[in-house]
Amino acid sequence: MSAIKPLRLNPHHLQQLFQGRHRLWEPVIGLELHCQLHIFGKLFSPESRRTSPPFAPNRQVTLVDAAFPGVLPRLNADGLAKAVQAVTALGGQVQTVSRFDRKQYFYPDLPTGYQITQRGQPIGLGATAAQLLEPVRGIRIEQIQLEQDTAKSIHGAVEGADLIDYNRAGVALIEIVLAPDIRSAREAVVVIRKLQELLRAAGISEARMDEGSLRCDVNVSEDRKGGIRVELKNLNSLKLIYHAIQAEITRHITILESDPASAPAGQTEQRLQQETRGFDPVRRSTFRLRSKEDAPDYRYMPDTDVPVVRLTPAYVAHTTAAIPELPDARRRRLHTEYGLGLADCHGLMSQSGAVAFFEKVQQATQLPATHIGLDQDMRISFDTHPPVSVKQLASILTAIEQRLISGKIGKEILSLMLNGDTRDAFELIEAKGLRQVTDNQLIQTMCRSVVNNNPAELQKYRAGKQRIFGWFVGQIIKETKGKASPTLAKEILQKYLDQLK
Amino acid sequence: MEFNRNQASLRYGSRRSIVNKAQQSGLASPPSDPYRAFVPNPSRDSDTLPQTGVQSTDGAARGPLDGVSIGIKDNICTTDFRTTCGSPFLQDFQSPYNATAVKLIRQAGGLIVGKTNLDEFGMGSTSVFSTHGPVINPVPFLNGGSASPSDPSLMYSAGGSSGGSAAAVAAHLCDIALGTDTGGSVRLPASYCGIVGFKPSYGTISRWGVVAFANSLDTVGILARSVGDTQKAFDVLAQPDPNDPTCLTREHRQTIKKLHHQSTKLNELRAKWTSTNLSGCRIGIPKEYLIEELNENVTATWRQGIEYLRQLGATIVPVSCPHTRYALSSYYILAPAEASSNLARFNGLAYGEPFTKEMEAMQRSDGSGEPTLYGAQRALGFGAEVKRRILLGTYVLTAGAYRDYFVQAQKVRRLLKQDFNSLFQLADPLAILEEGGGDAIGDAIRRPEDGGTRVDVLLTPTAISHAPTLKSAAGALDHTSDTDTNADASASVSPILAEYVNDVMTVPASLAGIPAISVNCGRINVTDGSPTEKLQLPIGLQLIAQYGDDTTLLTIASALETTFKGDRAT
Repeated sequence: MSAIKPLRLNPHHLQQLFQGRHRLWEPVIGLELHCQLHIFGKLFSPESRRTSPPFAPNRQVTLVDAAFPGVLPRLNADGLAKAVQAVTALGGQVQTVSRFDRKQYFYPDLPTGYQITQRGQPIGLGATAAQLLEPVRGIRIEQIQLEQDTAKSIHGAVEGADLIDYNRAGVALIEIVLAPDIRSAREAVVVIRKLQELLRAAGISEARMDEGSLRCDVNVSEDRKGGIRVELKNLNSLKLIYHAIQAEITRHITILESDPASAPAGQTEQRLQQETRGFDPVRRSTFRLRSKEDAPDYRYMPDTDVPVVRLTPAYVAHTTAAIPELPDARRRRLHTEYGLGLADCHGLMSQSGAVAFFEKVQQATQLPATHIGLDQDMRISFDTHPPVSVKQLASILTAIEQRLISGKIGKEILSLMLNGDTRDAFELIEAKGLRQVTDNQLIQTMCRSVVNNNPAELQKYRAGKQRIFGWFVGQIIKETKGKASPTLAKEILQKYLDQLK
Repeated sequence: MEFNRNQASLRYGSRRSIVNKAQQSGLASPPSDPYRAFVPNPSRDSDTLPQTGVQSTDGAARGPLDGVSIGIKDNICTTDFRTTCGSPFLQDFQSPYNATAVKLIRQAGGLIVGKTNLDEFGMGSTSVFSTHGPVINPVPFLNGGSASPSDPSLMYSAGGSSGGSAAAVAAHLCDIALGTDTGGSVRLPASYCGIVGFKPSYGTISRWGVVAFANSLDTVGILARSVGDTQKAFDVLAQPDPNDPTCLTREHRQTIKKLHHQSTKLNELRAKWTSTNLSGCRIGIPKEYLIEELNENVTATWRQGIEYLRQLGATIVPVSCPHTRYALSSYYILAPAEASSNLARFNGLAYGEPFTKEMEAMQRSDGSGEPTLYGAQRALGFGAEVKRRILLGTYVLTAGAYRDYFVQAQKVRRLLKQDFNSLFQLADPLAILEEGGGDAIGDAIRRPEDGGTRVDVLLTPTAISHAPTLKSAAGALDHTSDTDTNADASASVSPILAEYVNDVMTVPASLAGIPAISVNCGRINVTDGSPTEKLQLPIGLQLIAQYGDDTTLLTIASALETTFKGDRAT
């Protein structure tokens, strides 16, 4: 699982209205997300080997995946469990009875000629509004369904041939259908990021757009009622999604505000119609993939090979109990229990196991949350390779709290520990003579000499340059090789400077 | 055990020589198989044949089917033979795996002697729609009949779609054959060829490795010369299989057994039933099966069957299945719909012949450039009947027709099931399993023990008549290739519709998923006005039971078989 980019939720900038020539336009955006489930095996061939990232092409294909004559699908229990967890994690309602349907169309990457999906009775319905844009507002989830992925078509890699990689054929997906509650490209991006964060945290999906484990179709229309809906497909990064939505909104408004009579004859591009479009990132504009007339009739029918899924309350309870704490809840808790700010929450939550480590340290010290910034670039897992022990880190914090050392010395000690020293802070303080200088007399002497030896600085200070105060403190600490208590130094320096007035 | 091992191996040997001769002469059909019961297997070396069964050399039986020669319908996957489904599309398809049924037969010691001919993908009632040529009914040529089927006036259909299986068993080319029954494809040919054809409850025998036609209806069926042999094969094949999610698990089977044995009174009664005693057995005669199209000699045989069963102590109860009249039309909506989906994988890319040459020819002839890839492949790869059903099925699933056809047909299917449920002594165990309960709801489904009008099995004809001539059956085939005869078609009943009517007696049990068996009940005079007026052809009667009550069905079938055999003896 990769690190999650920090979210900067700014409630005031998400919704966006567009100023047209005559009026304001409000975009209406809906998303359909396809997420590959993070499980061993495929949805209907549990024994099909699947590793991530995938192997060489066409190596992870069973008889079922390749749709050999006479084979039958067998529902993967892990896939079902992940789907149930996803529905619950997203605030939807797990359906106790769900069924599978066949969506039929001919394409070389669909070996059976039909995709097994859930249309009429899916595993999850979003009865309650999932708090995807919390605290701004809820984005409703209409439906969550289990379905098979197709094989992967590769066009243009070999001249005169289209290649198909069946490794992906039959991989378990959930499709998350969001209600058209999104109002801007930015909001869409935030929603997708939050979904990624949630799916990863819950161990449901790796949700990586670059690797295709998360794919997203976007519906765009203007105004809530009567807008003409255009679907945007094949957008495989957040950046593309953002720019495609922006381009499409602009195109809609331009067409809607233009005088239909002045449009050149025969230019269908100038007419807004229900269709599927792609995005050209170079020209920053969308183009037609398929018109409504070309839309296939999928001839949906029930799939009677896969039995009806009936979930007992005990199964649902047991399965959903295994969902780990979800990001929104965790952030809320870190804030209320430890008083951490949003940035600190993200810092901790972006590394696997860091929150648990943090909480252990907190328990060990029984102190109010103290922040020691770890190098953000350190790629470590607190689950498997914690850089220092809970006891070591707790000892540093305790030493600081007891004013044995300053925060600066604390960081030096941490640095020693990170380099392999297994002693705790107290042992290191003794061994290295790092105990904080708390001798008032000594610090007073130093204050006097630092101030008196730098008359120019004193002059500036008196002229109102408050910054010089900090410089004096720095000099005192430098004199003591960092051991002087900064608090004490500041206190004594202030007194001395006041006396000089 | 009725089978003589030496005989079986002799037959096995002869089968191998058939194959050898076929290979040497390049004949489409081996000389010793003049009925086209088997699919020629030119791609395989005959040396691989001995591996098909566990051959006992020490004389000790290794399994219940030890030494029994068995034919496998060619839509069931085997690694030792290609699996063509009677289709040009799969003419060279070599399955990399064995169907579960095939595996079980081999484990039980059965000798698989070959793949039997069929209507393409199981679609048909006469076994004329096969790329290997039509199956010929062997009956007129057996027991002192004409030596070889050279006389066209004696050419009758073996029934379909498991016609090859029926013909092979009837002609003693093998002891038992597996078929598949979607709407009567095992029972109808059994009736036409004078043998036993059993379609067990849906989900009793694994479908893993059975090339799907209509997956909610497809069942593996057994064709044999006696109910006893049928029972032996059934005992081997009725096993749970994790590879088939629609196959009953061990727990399901136990629950069903428990649910069916709740009434002590009924258990005690049934325990006494044998092939010569059915005292207390209640046999329903559904009036809806007495249709206009029914041959009068078939009606007479039906009456005879009723009389025989009464003599064995059974009570005959007139009953009604009011929705039977809608069964055939519903079947011809649901089965093609599923077929259109199941056959979508045959596109010439992954499976099936690429038909490159033919496609090039198509390009040259019409000059319009590249033909649509899938369209051209499927036009070349499927036979006429399969194409007809795919089109029919595709249509009923389109957005505009789905509600009016598919959904209505599904409703009829449920109503039919309710019809049957209201008739049988035993409740429908599937309804209970679906509710997820066993013990808790057990009481709720216990039926009143006084009987009322409820019955153990239903007795109906299997087919409206004896086998049709191959000429009239092939009429449907000719009709297909001749697209400009619409004017003629309107004048009389289309041969295609006439063929569909063949299934009218068998589709209700298929739609309900309940077990049904056709037992030979003698022969009747041929009444088709041909010069063969003196010829007699076999017909069967069909017994139908509640879901999961296959054992009772076989017991009563054995009694019916015995009475008719005794009739012939006297």
